[in-house]
Amino acid sequence: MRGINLESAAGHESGAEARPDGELSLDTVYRAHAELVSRWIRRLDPTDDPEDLLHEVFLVARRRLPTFRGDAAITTWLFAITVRVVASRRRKRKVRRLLFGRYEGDSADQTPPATPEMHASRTQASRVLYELLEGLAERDRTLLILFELEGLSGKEITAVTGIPERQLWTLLHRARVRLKRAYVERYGMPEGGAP
Amino acid sequence: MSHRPEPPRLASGTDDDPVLRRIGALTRAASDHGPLGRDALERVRTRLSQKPGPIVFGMPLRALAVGVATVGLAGVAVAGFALSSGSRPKPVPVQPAPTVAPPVPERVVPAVKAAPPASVAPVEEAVPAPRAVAHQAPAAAPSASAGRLAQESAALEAALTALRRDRDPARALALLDHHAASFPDGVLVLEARVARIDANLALGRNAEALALLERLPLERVGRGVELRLVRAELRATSDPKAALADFDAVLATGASKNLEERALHGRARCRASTGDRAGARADAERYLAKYPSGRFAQALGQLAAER
Repeated sequence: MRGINLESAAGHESGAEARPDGELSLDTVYRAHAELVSRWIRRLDPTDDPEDLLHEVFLVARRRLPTFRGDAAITTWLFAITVRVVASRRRKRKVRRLLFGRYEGDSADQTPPATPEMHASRTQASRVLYELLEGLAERDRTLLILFELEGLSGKEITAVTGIPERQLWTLLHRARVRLKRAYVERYGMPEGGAP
Repeated sequence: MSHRPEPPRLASGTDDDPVLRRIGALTRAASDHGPLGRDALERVRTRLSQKPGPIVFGMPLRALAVGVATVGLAGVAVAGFALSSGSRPKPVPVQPAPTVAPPVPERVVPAVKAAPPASVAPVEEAVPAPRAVAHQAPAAAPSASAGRLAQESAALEAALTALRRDRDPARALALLDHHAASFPDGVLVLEARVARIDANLALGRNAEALALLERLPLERVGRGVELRLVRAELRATSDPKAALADFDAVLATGASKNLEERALHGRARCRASTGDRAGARADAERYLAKYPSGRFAQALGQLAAER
């Protein structure tokens, strides 16, 4: 399940060699990390255009690269950018929905399946899960994806989101409560579960 | 303060809550979509290698074509009004002929319906400097901004309603001033700037519209192709060289029929006005071959016949 692995990536800067002036070039960073970033993007928002998002992430990285001083692993830095780019794009979509009453990111089939168990395949499980996440606030959604799907540690989540570690588990707990509520609203309590 | 221990993942299936165990099962089964393929990565790398700014079309043509974002949604709808009001700039005022793109109702509603992925707001401002990565304020801070975002949306919507439904561009401008004063760093600043351009065009204030267009980062807004074409039409007399570059760029994108017609007509006129008669004839002939009964066919027929 886990794929981000920021800790190991921290010491793995292969390909990210510096230019003679000591600065990293965007192309170098891109060649070393684009594949990884594209994976994060598809995990964070599988409904958006991953190429456009990848382009946007590296446009931001290009603007920010001169200020990168190597205090954090470049993967952590890139991941923080990715999280923000995806969140920003999702906010924009929500704004459009606010303004115009529709949401282009909605999947064509909005009919909820009778039970999630009917959708045992990985793709279907993803769809069910992301539909539940879709109804949450952006921070809840991001936290749950980073912790539950990507398997980041608390320290890693703090590094890329800036949420202090001491607040993290409380926020995660609340996010889980809201996710649970979304599940129950959509599918009801599972058999044998307390109301 | 003592730190709480890291909780087990839902995927472990150890939670006492049956609902969370179900969700845990979903997270275990959820597919990892994997990275993009080599071709896609190379395409993005190529896009990145193009210089930002005027390249507009090096940037995702697709994003421009489909990228109406909020700007597009708001602006295209407004454009319908602006177009139908006859307030569009004259393509190239070399002759009085069809200067205004006729109403194109199909662009109004459908464009809104087809609104594509958003162009992204200036995200970099929100990205922490690397040194501070571990000590940043919460990343997206959506909860803090949600209410303000709704207010900002309502403010912009009021301006768009004045422009689109009430056909009152002067009032729309006043409401846009209010929006700008209330939300100087708002999420919808770019969208508001596009709406302001449309309002100025609707009022016939082409100079003001052009000044705004000159400062608009076209690569970051929806309707980029259309707005570039409008800029070309507005520039045609004052700066034909820059106008020609814009017309070229529009035509290089495989623009929609409506925009391509206008761009071919505009470039032909522009070329003629700068003494490039061969180029003007070539554009006129290309237009006539593709749009023999198009709205500019008569005017360009005369141009093509000139020797």
